[in-house]
Amino acid sequence: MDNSEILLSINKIFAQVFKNPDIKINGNTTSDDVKNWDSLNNIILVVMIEDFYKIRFDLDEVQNLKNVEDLCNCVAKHLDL
Amino acid sequence: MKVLSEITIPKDNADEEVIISELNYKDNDQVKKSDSVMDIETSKTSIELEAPADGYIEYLVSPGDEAVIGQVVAKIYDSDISDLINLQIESPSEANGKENEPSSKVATKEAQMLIEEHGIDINLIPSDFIKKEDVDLFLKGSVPSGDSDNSHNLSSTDMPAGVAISKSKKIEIKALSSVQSTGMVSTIFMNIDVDESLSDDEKTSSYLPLIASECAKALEIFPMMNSYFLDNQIIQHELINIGLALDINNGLKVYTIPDTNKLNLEEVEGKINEGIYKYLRKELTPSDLSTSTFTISDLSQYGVERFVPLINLKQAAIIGVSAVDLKLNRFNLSLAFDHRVTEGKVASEFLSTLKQGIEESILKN
Repeated sequence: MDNSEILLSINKIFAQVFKNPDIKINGNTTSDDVKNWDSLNNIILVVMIEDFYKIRFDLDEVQNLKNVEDLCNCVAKHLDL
Repeated sequence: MKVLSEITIPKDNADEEVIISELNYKDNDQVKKSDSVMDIETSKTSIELEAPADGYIEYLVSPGDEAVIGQVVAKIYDSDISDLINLQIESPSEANGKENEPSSKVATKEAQMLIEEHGIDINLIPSDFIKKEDVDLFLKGSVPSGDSDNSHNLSSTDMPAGVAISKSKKIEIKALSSVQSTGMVSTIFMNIDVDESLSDDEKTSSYLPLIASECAKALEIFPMMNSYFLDNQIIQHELINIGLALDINNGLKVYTIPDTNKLNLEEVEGKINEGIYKYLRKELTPSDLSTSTFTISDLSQYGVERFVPLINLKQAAIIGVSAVDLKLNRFNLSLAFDHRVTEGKVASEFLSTLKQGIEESILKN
C-alpha cells in the first residue's frame, strides 16, 4: 500500500466526516480548503482513520498535522510501510 | 482468614451516589494488587476500582446496586474464603421470608442478592443450586415472578410504552437537579460580535478554546462565580478548572481542563483536543471528569440560537455557547448562575468581562 492508496481510503473517510460525498482531497489539502474542518472534526477524522487502519496516533502527531500529506505519511509510518 | 483491605467508593467524583456496573471477578477469586475488580458508573463516566492488595476477593454489592461515597463494596482476604461464602449461602425459604415453605433450593450470595432485588420467587427458577447466571437467565426470559397479585399491572392500553432510562442517566438527573431544583437559578444573555470581514467558514470556526481561556481569566477576577453553595455556606474553589460539556454520541461528559487560568490559549486548545480525543476513545479518567469548577456547554455546532444550560453539582454557574448568526455577525453567550451564591449584578459584570475579552481577541485577529 502506498500513499496514493492511503489517500484514496482517507478521501472516503473525509466524505463521511464532512458529509460531502463529492469531496476530493490531495496531499496539499489543508483545513482551510475543507468546509467545517475545525478542531472538533479534525479529532473525529483522526479517530475514524485510526479505527479504519486499526492504528493509534500519538497526540503530538495529531496536533502537528499540517495537511493531508502529513496525515498519509503518519498512517504509512504506523502501518510500517 | 484475615481482611487485608477494603475497597470503598472513592471520593474523587462529584456524585454522592454511583451505580455498580460490573464485577470483574467472582467471590473468592484470587486477585492481584492493581487488578481492576469492579466498574462503577457516575453521571459523568465509568470508573474502574482496583484491588489495593493481593488476596481473595469478597464482593458486598451486585451489578446494578447503588452505592455511596465511602461505602465498602468489597473486601480482600489473605486466604481462601470458600468457607465464608458457603456460610453465606442461605436457604431460599429464609431469604424469601417464607419460613413455612421449606425448599431444597440454595442460591449463591450473588444470586441471592439478585433474587431479593427483583423479588423473585426462588421456586420458579429451574435449578436446585442457583447461580447468578440462572437468575440472569430467568430475568431475561421474562418469566412471571409468581406474584398472583396483578392489581398494580396496567394493561398496555392504559398507558403508553416507556423506555427505561439508564442508571447513569438517573444519577445525572439527580446531579443536575441539585442546583436547579432550588428555583434559585437565573440566566442572563449577551451577544458576542464576530469580525464581519471573515468568511462564513472562519466565522463559524470553534471559539471554544478562546471562550474557555477567557472564562478562566474572568473567574480570577470574579471568584464568586467559581464557588458553590453547600449547607448555607458558600465554598470557593481553590483552583480554576474549566469543564467542557461534551456530547458526541458517547453520552454527556464534562471534561476538565485543570488550572485553565495557568495555560495560554494554545495550551487550552491542545487540552480541548486531547479531551475530545479521549472522549471519543472512551478513555477519559475520573480525574479528567471530576474536578471541574465551572462548566461551558457549547451547542454552536447544532445551530442553536440561545439556550439555558443547567448548572452542575458543586458549581455556581455555567456558560452556554450558541451558534454564530451569519447575518448579524454575532453569537450568543448565556450565563446561568446560582442566585444563592451570587447575584445579577456580579453575574452581569462577569459576563461583560468575558464578552470584552473574547471580542478583543476575535477583532484583534
